[in-house]
Amino acid sequence: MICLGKVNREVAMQSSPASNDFSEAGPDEIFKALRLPASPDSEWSESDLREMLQHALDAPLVSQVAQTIDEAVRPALEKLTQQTTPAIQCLRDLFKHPQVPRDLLAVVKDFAKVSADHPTRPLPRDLTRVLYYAVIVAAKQQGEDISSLSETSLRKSTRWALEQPWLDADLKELFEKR
Amino acid sequence: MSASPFPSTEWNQVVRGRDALAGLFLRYQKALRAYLLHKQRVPVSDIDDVLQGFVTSQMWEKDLLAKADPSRGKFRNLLLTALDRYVSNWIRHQYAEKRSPGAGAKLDVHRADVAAEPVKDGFDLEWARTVLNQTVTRLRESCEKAGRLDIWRVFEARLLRPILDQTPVPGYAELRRELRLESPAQAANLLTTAKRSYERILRNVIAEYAGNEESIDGEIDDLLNLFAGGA
Repeated sequence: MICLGKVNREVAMQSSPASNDFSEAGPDEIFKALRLPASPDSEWSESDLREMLQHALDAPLVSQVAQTIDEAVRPALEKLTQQTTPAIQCLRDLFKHPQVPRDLLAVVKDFAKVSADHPTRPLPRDLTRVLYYAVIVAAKQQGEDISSLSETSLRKSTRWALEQPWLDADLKELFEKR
Repeated sequence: MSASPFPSTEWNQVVRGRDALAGLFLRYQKALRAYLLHKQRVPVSDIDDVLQGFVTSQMWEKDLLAKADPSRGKFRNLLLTALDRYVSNWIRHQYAEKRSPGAGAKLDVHRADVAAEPVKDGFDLEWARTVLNQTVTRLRESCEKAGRLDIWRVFEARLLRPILDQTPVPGYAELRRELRLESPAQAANLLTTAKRSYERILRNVIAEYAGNEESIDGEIDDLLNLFAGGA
């Protein structure tokens, strides 16, 4: 458990209020600061994406998906993940599992689809694209078709995913099997 | 008259009382000083007197701004128009005293030997600096008060320092470790919260002199246009 009070004390010691001053700022800095609310967030670095993907793959699947899509799907998700052998605890389990229930694959595909635009818990778009293609590929490998994506498009998307330097080894293996 | 979405704006306070106006003057006096020096070229040694006289006579005695109609124009322009008028009268008064026999013969009423700078480099720049300093100070204070210095830290590291020092933007993964968060996504969520707070506070700071929502948007656009060339 993280102690927010301790974090606050540490941050207070590290931050320097005197240096956060616009008194010497020029027009360029003023412009950027005034435009801040409308500016897009800075791009995700390679290490951000690598770490976020690993976190997404290893976080408890039911909570992660339910919190993003709708808490109402939680009971159904719990049932679906427990009925498999071995049980699916996280997305990494799902991508390595030989027999994932079709409904579960479809829900995870929806999760990947909406994650980038989630109002409070958005994931980087490239990361959600990788998860989206990965679940479609995983479904295909067990003979399920959960997407209207053409073979050509899927092949192209798979190639794109494999080019991402932050791709996880398990997902790389999944995409390379295609 | 329709109710303003910001009922406690400084404009309304101008009409209600003068304390808020005095607060505004104190807050933005650096901008007024820059204007007097660079635009009106008032000698440095006279600036304090001029400002004090302006506040006392124009704002308090004549209550000029209390009678002002917010719809007539931007507060910054109104303030400068009043200041221009005051300085003209002040100079006239100084000359008159100098000419009068036995008095004021040694008064120095020459204009300051300062090259006139574009307004952008003087009054507006100082004004915008004050707006941003107020915003950033209040953001930090609100984070401290709420016990959420993690929000402040992400804002400072990802947005503020790169603007002020041109330092590289640290990755979310780095901030996750520093703040002991569960994932970089959590750091990204903190940044979203910080940006929303920053925007709200920036608008509040501007609302204190600009007025309603429409005027706030207009003031932000105006300031952006003023500094767009410098970006």
